[in-house]
Amino acid sequence: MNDELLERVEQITLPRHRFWSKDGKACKLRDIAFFETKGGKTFVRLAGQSDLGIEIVPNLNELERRLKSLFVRCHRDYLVAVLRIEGVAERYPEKTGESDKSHKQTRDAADECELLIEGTVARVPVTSTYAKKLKKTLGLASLHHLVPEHPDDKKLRSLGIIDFSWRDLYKLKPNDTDAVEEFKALWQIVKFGKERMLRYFRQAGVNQIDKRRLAKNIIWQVWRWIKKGIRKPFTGNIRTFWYEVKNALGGDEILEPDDVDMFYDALRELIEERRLFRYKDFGFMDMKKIFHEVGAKRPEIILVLEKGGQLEMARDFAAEVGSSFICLGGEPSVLTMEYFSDDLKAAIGERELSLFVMTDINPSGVSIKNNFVDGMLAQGMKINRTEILWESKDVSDLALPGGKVKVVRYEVRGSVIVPVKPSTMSQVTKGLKWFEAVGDPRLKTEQEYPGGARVVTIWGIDSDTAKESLIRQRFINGANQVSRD
Amino acid sequence: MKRDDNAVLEKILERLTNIDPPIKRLAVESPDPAVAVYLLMLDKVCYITTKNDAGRTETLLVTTDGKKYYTNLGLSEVEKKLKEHPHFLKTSKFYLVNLTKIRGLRVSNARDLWFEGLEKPVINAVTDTYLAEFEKRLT
Repeated sequence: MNDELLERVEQITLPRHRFWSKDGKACKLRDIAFFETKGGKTFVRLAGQSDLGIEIVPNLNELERRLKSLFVRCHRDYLVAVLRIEGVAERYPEKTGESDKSHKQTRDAADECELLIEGTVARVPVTSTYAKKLKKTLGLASLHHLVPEHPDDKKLRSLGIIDFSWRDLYKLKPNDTDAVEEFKALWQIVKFGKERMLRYFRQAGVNQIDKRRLAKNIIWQVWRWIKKGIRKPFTGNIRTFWYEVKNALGGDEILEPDDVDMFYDALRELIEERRLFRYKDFGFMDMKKIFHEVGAKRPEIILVLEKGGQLEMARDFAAEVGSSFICLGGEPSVLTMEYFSDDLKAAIGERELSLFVMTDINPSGVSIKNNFVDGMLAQGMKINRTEILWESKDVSDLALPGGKVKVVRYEVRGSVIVPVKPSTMSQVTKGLKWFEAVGDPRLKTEQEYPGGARVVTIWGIDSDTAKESLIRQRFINGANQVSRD
Repeated sequence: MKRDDNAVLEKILERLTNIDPPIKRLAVESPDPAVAVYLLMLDKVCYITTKNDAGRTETLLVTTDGKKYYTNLGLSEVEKKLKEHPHFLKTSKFYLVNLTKIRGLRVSNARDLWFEGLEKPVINAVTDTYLAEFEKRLT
C-alpha cells in the first residue's frame, strides 16, 4: 500500500519539479515536451517552444532512468513526455538527401513512425529499437493503425488507400449542391497540392510522393464519388480518366506523361486483381460494342471468335441459331466482358453458358480462350461446356503451308536450347509445352546447319484459313446438341 | 502507525486517483487521415456511446468542444479499459459518462444529462438499472 501510494504521490508531484539549465534558467518538468541530444549536448524542448531549447547537464540515459514514470525513450536522441504524446504518424525525413537510402534502411524506415507531441509542431521520430517499449507504455498494439481495426479499414490500408472523410460522404445528400461542393473543395485529392499530398502519400523512407499510391487513391475516390452520385461517370474511355487526372496534376509536376502506364496498371490492379469495382462503374465506353451481341432465341449459346475481322461470319452463324456471339479482337478486354456478361445476365438470368470457340491454333489462341472463360466466370457467369470448333487435325496437309504462322524458333546446341531472336526463352518454353499438348508433328520443323547445329521452328495456324462451312456446320450441330441435352 | 492507518492510506490513494486518474488517453481514429493513431485526452471527453449512423456500428466519444472521435472497440470493451478510471461510469446500456463533465440533469423517462461545453442534453443518458450507482457516485 505504501509503495503504491508513494508512486502515485510522485507521479502527481514530480511534474512540478524544476529543471535547471546550464546557464541557470529554471523550467518545470510538466512544461517539457521532450529532451533531445544534438552534437553530444542535451537540450530541453518546452511546450510552445519551436527552437532548440535550453541546454542541460544530464544526458538522455540518466534522464530516462530518473524520469521513467513520466518520459519514454523513442529514439537514441529523444526522450518524450508520455502524457504529451497525442498521435502517431508514418515517418518521412525532412532533410533532403535521405532518399539515397539503402534497401535495408528504406525497409527499416517503413517500421518507423513519428510522434505528434502536444504543445509543439515538431514531430519526434520513433526508431524500431524503441518501438516495442513505446507501444507498451502507450498501451497500443500497433503504431500504424487502430486495434481492433474495422475490416473495411484494414482492406483499404493494405492497399494504401485512404477513404477521405467517409463519414461525411456517407451522410452527404447528392442533391444538396452547396454541401457537395463544400465537401469536394475539402477532399478532392487532385486539388490537394503537393505539400498536402506528401502528408498522405509519401513513399516510406523517402520524401517523395508515392505516385502509384496517389493514383490508387484518386481512382478509389472517383469510384466512391460516382457511386454516391456526387460526380458524373466518364463519357469517354479509360484514357479520358487519365487525361483528367494528368491535367489536374501535371501543372505541379506531380504526375507526368510517362506515368500513364503506371496509372492504367493501378486501375487494372484495383479492378482485375483486387476486384474492388468494375471498369463499367466508371462509365467507360465499351469500344468493342459492335463486336458482341446477345442472341434473341438462344442467348446462352455463344459463338466466340478470336478476330475482329470475323465479325460478319460470327453475326451470320449466330443469326442462324439465334445465339449470342463475340469477336474478341485478341486478348479479351475485361471492360467488354463486363458489358457483355451484364447483357447476358439480363437475358438468361442464372442459366449456364455453352461456348463454341474458334481461335488461332497457337499458344496465344489457347491463352485467349482461357482468359475469356476465366473472365466470364469472374463476372459471375456459369459455364456448362466449352467446345473448340477448329483444331490442327482439321487442316489438311495440302492446306497447311498456306495457314502456317511462326510461333517460336530456337537452336539446339547439344542438350542446350537457345532462342533465336526475336523469340525469347519464355516463349520457347510456352511454345514447346503447347506443341506437346497439341501433338501434331506437322507443327514442328527442323533445319540442320553445318557443324551439327539444328534450328527448330514451332508453327501455329491462323484461324482466317479455317473453312467457314466446316465451322458453321460444327457450330450449328453443337447448338442443336445443347438443345437436346 | 495505528491499526486503521491502512484505511486512511487507502482513502488517500482513492482521492489521489480521483485527482490524477491512472489512464489519461485513449487511442481513437484520428480526424487527420495522415495520423495513424490519435490519443485522445480522456479529461476532455463528456460521454461515450455507440453509433450506427454511417453504415457501421462504432463507439463514439464526444468532447467538451463538441468534437466527435471514433474507436472500433465496443462500448463494453471501452468500459473495461476505463474500469480503473474514477470519472467514467456506465449509466445506461448505451452510455458511459464522465461524471466530472456533467453540468445539469433533468428527470424525464430516465435522466437527461447536460455536459460542459455541449449545448444539447443527452436524452435518457441514465436509466433505472444504473441510477443508484450514478446517484452515489455523482454526489
